[in-house]
Amino acid sequence: MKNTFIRKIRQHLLSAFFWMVLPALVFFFTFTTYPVIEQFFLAFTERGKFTLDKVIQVLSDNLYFMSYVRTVGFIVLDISIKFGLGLFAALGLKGAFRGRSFVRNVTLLPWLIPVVPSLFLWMFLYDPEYGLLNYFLKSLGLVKEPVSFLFDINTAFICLVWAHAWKYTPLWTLVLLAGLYSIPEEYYEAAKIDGASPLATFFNITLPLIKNYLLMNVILSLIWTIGEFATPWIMTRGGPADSTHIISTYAYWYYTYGNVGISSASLVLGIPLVLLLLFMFVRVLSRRVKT
Amino acid sequence: MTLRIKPERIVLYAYMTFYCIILAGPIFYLILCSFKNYSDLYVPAKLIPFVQFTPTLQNYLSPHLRSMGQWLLNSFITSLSASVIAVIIGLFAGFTLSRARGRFFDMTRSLLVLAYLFPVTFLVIGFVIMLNAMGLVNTYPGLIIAYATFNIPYVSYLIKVYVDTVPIEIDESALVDGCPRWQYVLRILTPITRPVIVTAFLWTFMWSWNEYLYALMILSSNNMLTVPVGLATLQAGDIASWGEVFAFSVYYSIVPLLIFAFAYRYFVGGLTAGAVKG
Repeated sequence: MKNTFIRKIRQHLLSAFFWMVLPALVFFFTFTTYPVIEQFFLAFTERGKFTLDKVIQVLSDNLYFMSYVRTVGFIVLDISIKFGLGLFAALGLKGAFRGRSFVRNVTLLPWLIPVVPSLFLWMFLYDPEYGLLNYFLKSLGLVKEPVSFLFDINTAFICLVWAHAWKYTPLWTLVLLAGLYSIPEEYYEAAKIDGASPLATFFNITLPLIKNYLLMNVILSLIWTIGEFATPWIMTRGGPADSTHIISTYAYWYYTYGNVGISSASLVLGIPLVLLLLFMFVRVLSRRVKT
Repeated sequence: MTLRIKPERIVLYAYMTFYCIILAGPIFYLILCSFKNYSDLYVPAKLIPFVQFTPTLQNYLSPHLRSMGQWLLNSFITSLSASVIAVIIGLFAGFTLSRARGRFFDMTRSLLVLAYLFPVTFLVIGFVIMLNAMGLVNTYPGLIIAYATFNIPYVSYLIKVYVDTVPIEIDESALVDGCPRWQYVLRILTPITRPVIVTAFLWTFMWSWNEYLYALMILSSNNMLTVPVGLATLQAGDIASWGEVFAFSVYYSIVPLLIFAFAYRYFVGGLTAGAVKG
């Protein structure tokens, strides 16, 4: 046994492939393993001794619980908006119509603009005094007093989610469009011959055929959004009365107070959620490969 | 008289108009406001003054421009360096993961997808402490290491997927001619894979150009900040007016917009490579 093991190692050491992939592995693993281990140590030890104090403190903090819930809420609402807006856009953009290239290109703008300026834009639009949104609401007679979108605990969170979803809707439209294009035309033609209505076609042909593709991308979006920090932090710094904190801002908040232990604990406790999503992604991925 | 426009078309055009206004409208508004001076901007928004104002360039030429220039430079340096590093390392890794057989490489291939999926926010505290131990906090290399590390997996993946489509006969003929594999990658494969190399480079660049959290935590002195962090300090401290913030945002956004305008195909290619092929 030992002989084959050593032989395998020697084989690798002599193989060009091994040396070519090594820089990537070393680079990546060095700079990610240390942080992971460091965070575990910071979360579970105090002055060199194992302790669950910090973990318990985080778990019993109502703000952390709410942040956790809001994190899930954030990613779910975010994908719902992107999906909703993007699906109709993709369905529309699939066929030709006058001005299609213009629409396709100009609606990519939110995604192309860097994150931080897009947040400033929405902060300004949401402004109670100078913002356009309040102007429209007032002139349409929908409200008497200006709505303080980002300063009101009832509206701040959804406003954050909207700003984020808005920015990434174009990407989602592209993803959906690619999925729609992958459906062979023959199915649609057969449906038309059979006299199927557009709605029936959609539910019986389109959706089932891209189900796995959609699901995979939904989970992808969830995973990529779960670590979002800039949006909540820049727009509300955790919000009017802590009402917009999510896991990432919670961790950062404690970091700014020098409390790296709590910071790390809050991140470490969030990792199971990430792993759950990753697990779901892998499941759907392998299902898709099979079909 | 029959209705010549089908109702579906009306719905389509209506939705597309709505979609355009909602998505693109605010951006044009941002650009518009960057040309407004203080008194035109800080009024309760009225529709007429909305479009009737005296345009000014003062926001684009504000005294804060000096800091902004430094921040742009910092963003460029970190994004470009990280992209170069990620692409070079990722090129060899991607090639290997495409061609190599065996359990070791199978394991690496499996880990690859998980590696680029993982949200890096959950590593930030440990990462910063690591950099601190290395003495690289508030330095270019510190941030560059972060940006390169987090993009190597996706770059490798992009390249692997592309090299999968390159016929292995080309590899073999090079090997038969006595060309060492690494030279093959550099001399022969690189020109063949140029599209994906550009895609990977631009992807890493855009990712780094946009990145906020790590830059915020790693960089501390004003002259080291990247644009997103710098702009946020200008805005938060009420140091600059919204007009100025928007004008600087335009400076900041020109780079990704230009990149997109000239390298459109590379972008969409990079996206759909991962999404459609799965």
